[in-house]
Amino acid sequence: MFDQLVIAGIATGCIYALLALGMTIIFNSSSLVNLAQGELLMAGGLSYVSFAAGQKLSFALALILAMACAAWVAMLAEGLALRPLRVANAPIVNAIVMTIGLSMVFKSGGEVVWGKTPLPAPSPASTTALWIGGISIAPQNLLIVVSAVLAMGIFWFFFDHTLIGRALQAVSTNREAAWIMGINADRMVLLAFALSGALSALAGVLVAPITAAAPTMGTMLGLKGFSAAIIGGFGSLWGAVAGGILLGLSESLTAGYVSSGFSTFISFGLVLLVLFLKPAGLLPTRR
Amino acid sequence: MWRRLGALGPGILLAVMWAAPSPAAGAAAAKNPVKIGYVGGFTGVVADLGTAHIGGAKLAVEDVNKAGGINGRALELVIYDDAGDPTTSVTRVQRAITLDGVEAIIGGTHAATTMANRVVTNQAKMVQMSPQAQNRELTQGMPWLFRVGTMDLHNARALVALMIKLGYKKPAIQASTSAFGESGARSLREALEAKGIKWVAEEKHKEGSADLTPQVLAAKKAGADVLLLWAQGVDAALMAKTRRQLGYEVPMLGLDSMMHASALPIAGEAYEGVIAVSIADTSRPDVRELFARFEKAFGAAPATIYSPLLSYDAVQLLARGLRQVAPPEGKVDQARLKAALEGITDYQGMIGPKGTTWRFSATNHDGLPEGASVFYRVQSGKWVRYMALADLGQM
Repeated sequence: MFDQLVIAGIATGCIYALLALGMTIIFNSSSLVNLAQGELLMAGGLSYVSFAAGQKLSFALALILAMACAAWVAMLAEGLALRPLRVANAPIVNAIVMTIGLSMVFKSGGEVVWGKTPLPAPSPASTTALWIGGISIAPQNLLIVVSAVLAMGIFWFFFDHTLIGRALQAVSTNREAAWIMGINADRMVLLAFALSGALSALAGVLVAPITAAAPTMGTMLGLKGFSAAIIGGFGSLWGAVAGGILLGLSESLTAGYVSSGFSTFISFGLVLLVLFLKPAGLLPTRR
Repeated sequence: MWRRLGALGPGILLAVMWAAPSPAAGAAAAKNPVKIGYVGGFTGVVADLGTAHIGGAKLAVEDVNKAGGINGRALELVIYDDAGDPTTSVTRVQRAITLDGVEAIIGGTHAATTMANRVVTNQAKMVQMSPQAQNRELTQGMPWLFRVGTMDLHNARALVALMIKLGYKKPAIQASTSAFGESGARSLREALEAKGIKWVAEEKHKEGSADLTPQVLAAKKAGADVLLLWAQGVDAALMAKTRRQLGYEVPMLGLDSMMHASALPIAGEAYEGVIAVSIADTSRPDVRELFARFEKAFGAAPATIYSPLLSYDAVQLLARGLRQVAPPEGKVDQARLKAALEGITDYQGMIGPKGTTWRFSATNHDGLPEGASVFYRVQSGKWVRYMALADLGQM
């Protein structure tokens, strides 16, 4: 049973990790905690359903289009709602509240466009489980882990080994210095939002075949992604991943061994415990 | 300019977020209508349930008005959206009573909101019809609340009766952590105890979970031969898929919440053979006709088979009471309305098999009698009426 629970926990942990990564990328580039991150996941998940189930496109194409949709929504939010606040030098709290409002707007928008009933999402992964050494592995979970690892690998490469990625990092480290060096910080922030939207959309596409896609699918997941980012140390990319996996594992193991009713309580209790012992999170950035 | 926009932005957005929604324009603008406040979740977590409810209610209002309304006065629904949130539900009901002058309340869409908003109507001494919530404490200590629907204990007993008939002996209870699930789990425990059956495991899950592996594994470890579910459609679908994925293909028996329109497409083959108990009987021609009217009027079939029927009966029952006490103009006397509803002992509505008779009294506000249950089973990818509880003896 332990191995089974670990596998399930890692799969959900990858979803949380992708969300936490998305929040971290936005935070690093604009010091903003995006509380509408879950809704970007929702935008990705629901558009994927429209493309894959509605238009019958292939998985790869539907995925790319879904990521593009969520990226577009994120950029729209940044350009229209959040940039004016940044330009006006408003306190960051205003922007955070704005993201709360945006999450509600997105949820209502989702209801208007896709309706309120949960929609089934197709997946290239088969529904027959793989049996390896007495443990059953759902192909969907395998897809989640592989995709997440691939995405994280691509992002790591992007951030550390491409010019644009380095420019984004520069803006995160010191905005004014980056401007002086000729990097258009505003454009970089827009890019960060687009990447964050795309990552969250990927998470949405991966989780939708399991939970069905609905306008409310992002609420709880967004909250867990936020907790994962805090556990790992807000602002640290590796921390976001570690926090996500840890949260997923703790949920799965406590549900299996302690009590299934307490798992949420214990997961969020973990957040408190980590912050108590290591206030900066598990893998904080050296800033 | 950007700075000013930037400063205004959050203010405008906050104002939009917190603006109280105005009640929807009622039915035909007749003068002197009898207004009923309908509080439900039409957006948010229970949005599709709420939409199914209000559809049934609107059709009922149409029928009431076609049959002469309330002694010549038109019946009118004033609709409030609480987004499935208990706190919002309370404020909506308060507004309906104090500002908009409704004569009665119908709502909320599920146990969580109804448990909260019934306090308001009770304090205001106004009649409320609850068209969904099944938890038994709903009407306790609430003399102004009338339950239009079944009690989860009755459903639990029906499920246990079927379980025994089908020969299963080691059930595992799988319930959600919401008010609905908690009450359902308690009723299942009571129903099993009453038959001397010990459940081998009791697992809980949060609604909307992305993974139910721990819960299914716990049941498997305990050696359960059947899963008794009290869960929402999507969670039931996930549980069905998970048990199949883990090579643990036990039968699943549960509540009609599992029959939600979204569940079967998600579960696919994993739902084959799953049995649900419901208070809707789709073999009745009048029920089928109502669904056809629903689809024509609102463009899509309701998400659940029971929601429109519950709302329909709620409106019709209330109308019956109102006809006895509504004056030609002016407010309805709440105490007299309450007494009129308590005096209903022979209402036959859309809920239950044909001939199911509702009986209210001063001490019984849960008017639907026990036994109005019908079982449905998934056969070849479709929900099919399996049998009525009353016919269980002939199995």
